[in-house]
Amino acid sequence: MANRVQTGTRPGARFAQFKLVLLGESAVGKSSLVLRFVKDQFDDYRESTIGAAFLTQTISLDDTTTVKFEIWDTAGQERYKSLAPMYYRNANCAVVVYDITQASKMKKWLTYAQSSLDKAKSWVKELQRQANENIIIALAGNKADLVAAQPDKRAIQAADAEAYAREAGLLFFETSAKTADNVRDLFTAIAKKLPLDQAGPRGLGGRGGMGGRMGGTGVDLRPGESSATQGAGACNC
Amino acid sequence: MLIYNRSNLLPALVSSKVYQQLEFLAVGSWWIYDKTTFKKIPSSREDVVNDQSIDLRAKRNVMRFLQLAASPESHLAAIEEHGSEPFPAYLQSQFKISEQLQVTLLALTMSPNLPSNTLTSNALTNIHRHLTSVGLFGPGFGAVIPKWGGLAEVAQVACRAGAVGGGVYVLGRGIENTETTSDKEHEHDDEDAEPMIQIRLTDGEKIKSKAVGGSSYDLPVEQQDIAEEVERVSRSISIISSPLDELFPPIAEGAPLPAAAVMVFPSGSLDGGETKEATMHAPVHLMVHTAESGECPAGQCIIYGHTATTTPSRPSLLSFAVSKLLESLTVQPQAQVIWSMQYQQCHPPSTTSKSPDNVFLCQDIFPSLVLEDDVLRDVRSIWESITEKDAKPPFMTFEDREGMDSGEKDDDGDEDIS
Ligand SMILES: Nc1nc2c(ncn2[C@@H]2O[C@H](COP(=O)(O)OP(=O)(O)OP(=O)(O)O)[C@@H](O)[C@H]2O)c(=O)[nH]1
Ligand SMILES: [Mg+2]
Repeated sequence: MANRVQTGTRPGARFAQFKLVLLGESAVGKSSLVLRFVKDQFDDYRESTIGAAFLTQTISLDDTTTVKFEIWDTAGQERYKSLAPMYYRNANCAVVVYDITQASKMKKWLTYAQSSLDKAKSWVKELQRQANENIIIALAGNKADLVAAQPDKRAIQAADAEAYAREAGLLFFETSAKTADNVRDLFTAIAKKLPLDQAGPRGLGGRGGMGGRMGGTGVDLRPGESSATQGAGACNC
Repeated sequence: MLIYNRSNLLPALVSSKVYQQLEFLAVGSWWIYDKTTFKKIPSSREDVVNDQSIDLRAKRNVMRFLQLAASPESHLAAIEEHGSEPFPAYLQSQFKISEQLQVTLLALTMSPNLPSNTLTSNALTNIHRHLTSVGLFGPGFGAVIPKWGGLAEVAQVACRAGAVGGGVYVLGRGIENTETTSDKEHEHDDEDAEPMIQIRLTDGEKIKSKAVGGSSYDLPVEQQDIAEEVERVSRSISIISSPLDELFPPIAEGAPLPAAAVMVFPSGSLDGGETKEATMHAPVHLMVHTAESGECPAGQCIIYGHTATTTPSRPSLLSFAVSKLLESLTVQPQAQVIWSMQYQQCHPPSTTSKSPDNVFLCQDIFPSLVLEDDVLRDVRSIWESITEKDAKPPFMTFEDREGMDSGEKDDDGDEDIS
């Protein structure tokens, strides 16, 4: 499903572009993880995301392989939930985030109380049912720094989440957007799992002198910036 | 729906930057059904010249017509003079083009109408668009389709861009009614107060807006009794057990791989060349998309059928056309229809009903084969009415909206790595 893989200028160099979506309950740290990954920053008082945010980040896997992520950071608040399919459609990979200190945002005595991990599980289910068949999903238990400082703050055991991730076929990391712990590793692990070589001859074929973003079999809508065009009046009858 | 490369939508997608989230695939060959087989319509002047089946004299006539149709001035002059004539009669009288070649040129018009109902004005406009679209985005192809399921993808991406830009979406609710507030009392508070429109949503919630836009499906408009004049189109979708590779020969050196083919059954051709217009079926178009379109699994292809419904209607015409297509191919064993559906689409004639100030009604999109420019033209005129009082921003021109906070540019400097 690598929708945009192309050979680079250097012999053997590969450049691939993938859509990544972040999902998870509000305040678990989706935007913070993205901010850490893209700008290496952290913000103690982030505002809750409205609608969604879009960012890109490029990483090198090795000397010859570059992966660019197009990142859709969604809003976790319940009222935006119905927008999610708009963002995970055609996504190649997803990071589903929960907060390891958050057993339940609702009061414990409520029988329907959900932990942020339960919420994450329901996102995973939805992705596996409705998103791309080959989507790569990573589960991220965020705010690991809080637990490192105060172990009794942990509400969700790493072993439980890991067992679930293994069963569901997900990558799994405990992360901290605050200390940057495991953030890069998370995205690198995803990049490594993405099917860089699957584009095959069809995906790489006929790309002529096209530069920039498009890959695969796509048509470049900015011909001025690529190969010469045939003038109008060329005949196709 | 296919989009000609000259369509006004494509530059708008580029200037608004949303094209970066979209992928377009090339439409390859046009094929025409003749008795039991399909013939590829020549795709270049050289192809016409080399076509052994056309005699020299006929070739000259066709070339003369194509030259006129490709010329920006001459084709307009011809429309001026002959626009209201039926296209076949025009080809006969002005170019002495034989009936057989008329059929081929009619196929390029993508007209859903019977030949005698296809006017020279529409035909020349469409053939001009076809000819001048070729080569715009690469050699040999003149039209594209959006990957992943058609124009809905464009709407999706526009919504995403809107959400990132701070747009608010309210899903699952419609507009119950709109009412322009005209109470004078408020105007005393603020001399420049613009009239606001009160909108009641279907769940009872009330909101206010300076302007409201939508189609007749979104806005409460008075429906006249239009049942008689409704135009109907029969459509079908069929998933085929084979990729039908033979319909997708390479377009040209250096061109992208074709992801769609246009199969045209001229009027009457499915009845063994019925010539009486009264009983003839309208042209049938089958658009075949490869699995590369993301609309069906690899190893299969998907066929979209389209024909204007004539009276008496023939519900099985589209499935008959699909079976004729499959029979005409050499793939062994013969490809099968794995799944199919059919439906009819109705299109009420465009209403000229007047809507209140600042309530903008878009014309309904005709369920045609080609995305027409008037769709975006309509949007543009609404855009201009709404932004008139502001600084008149250029139509659909946006900066990259990337970043966590509005206004902040995300400069990771990673463009054009390749
Ligand atoms: N200690 C600690 N705090 C974090 C971490 N990640 C995020 N936070 C804080 O948690 C709060 C919510 O973080 P966001 O990144 O805005 O959460 P979100 O998932 O994007 O939330 P929505 O946009 O509402 O869906 C912010 O105050 C962050 O500073 C982390 O790893 N450690
Ligand atoms: Mg957020």
